[in-house]
Amino acid sequence: MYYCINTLILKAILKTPELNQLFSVNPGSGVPLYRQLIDQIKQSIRMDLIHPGEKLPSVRSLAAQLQINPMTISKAFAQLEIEEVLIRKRGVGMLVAKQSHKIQPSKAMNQSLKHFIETAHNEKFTDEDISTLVQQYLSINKDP
Amino acid sequence: MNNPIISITNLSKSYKVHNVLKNLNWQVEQGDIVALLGKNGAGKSTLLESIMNLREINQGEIKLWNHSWPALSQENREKIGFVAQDNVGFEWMRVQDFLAYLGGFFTHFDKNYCAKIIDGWGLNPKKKVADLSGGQKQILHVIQALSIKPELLILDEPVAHLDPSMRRKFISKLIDLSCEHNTTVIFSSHIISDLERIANKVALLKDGKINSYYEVEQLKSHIAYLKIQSDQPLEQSEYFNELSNWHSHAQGATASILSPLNKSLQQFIKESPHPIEITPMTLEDWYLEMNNEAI
Repeated sequence: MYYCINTLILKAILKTPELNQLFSVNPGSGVPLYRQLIDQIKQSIRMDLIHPGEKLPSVRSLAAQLQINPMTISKAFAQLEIEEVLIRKRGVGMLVAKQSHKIQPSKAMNQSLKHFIETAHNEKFTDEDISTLVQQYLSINKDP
Repeated sequence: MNNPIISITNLSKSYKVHNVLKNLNWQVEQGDIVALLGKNGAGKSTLLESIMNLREINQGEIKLWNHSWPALSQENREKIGFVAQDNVGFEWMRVQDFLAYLGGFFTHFDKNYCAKIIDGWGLNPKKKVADLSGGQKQILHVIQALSIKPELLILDEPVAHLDPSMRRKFISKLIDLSCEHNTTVIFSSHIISDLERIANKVALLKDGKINSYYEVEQLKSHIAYLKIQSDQPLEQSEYFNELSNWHSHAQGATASILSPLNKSLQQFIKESPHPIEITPMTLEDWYLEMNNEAI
């Protein structure tokens, strides 16, 4: 429910966004740029801002828009191609794969998320606290 | 490396008693945009000027397109654009005359292309060089280097005097060059945020050598500040021997990762015998740590 409202609000604000303006990167953060771009592309797909079958902007136009080295864009695209989130179509460019279910959270995951956030809020954790908690947990604990 | 566009072996250069470059080895691959970092006085200008055959070297070999300078064809020489740190323009000339004059040394100089670049930067072609601001003079030399459609662009602190919007334009130009002509770029700069955007490789000149030369994104995937947790002080064991700046504390230790590890950062944390908490490190942090580190 929370997720749906978020999407609707974002859609209302952005209306039909120019794909180029969907993404932004922060060179100053410690996170590599290609990683930031990968996360943003996935997030945009998750939020239905770009749809299966839709073409992403070219490497060149994204590089010009974001003001970063085109190789960084290529690297992000290549990784997303390996993960089958994007498909390379010769002569056309990078398209969003039809089955992007891999990046959509399952119903179970959405429910867990909802439960976790509600519990955290009940214990008076702010949204920032929650974010920090998750980060710390991920870096301290070993992944299965 | 497949076919390096620049290949430097055992380069040494001294000024009287001061050994600036000491047995430096370096190779630059075609199409790369390389940021050359180093403290003031580290020898960046010396290195770039040596590559441009503007400095007599004491020892070593520098090859461009696999040829040493004497053997370099005129055609190849005209593919190189260079912007020195201090540029002297002919103050009495107008912008367009200055560029046309220098353009005359290049067989394939395209006057119209040059005019387009001048216009793109908002420079008045009829203005006298003497009447340009410091930043505009710097742009003039950048334009000169770009106007010859270089395959190799060597820039010594090209944006030091440029305001943020000019620097953005500069980055755009590099992106265009890279996409259109696969131009190789080497530039030295202290403005690390620009480097993080546009360079795909970073080289650190320190103590006369380039010992750190990495892909920017790969480096950034690894560099971090670490807190290794334990219920007692920890010594730097074998597992952690790639880490730097190790400090033992009551509850474990802190350390830094300053170069790409043998495995991914995630894997390193996963396989660690002790829990690790990471804080990301920016490229600027990295630069400061590298220059502070006592070896």
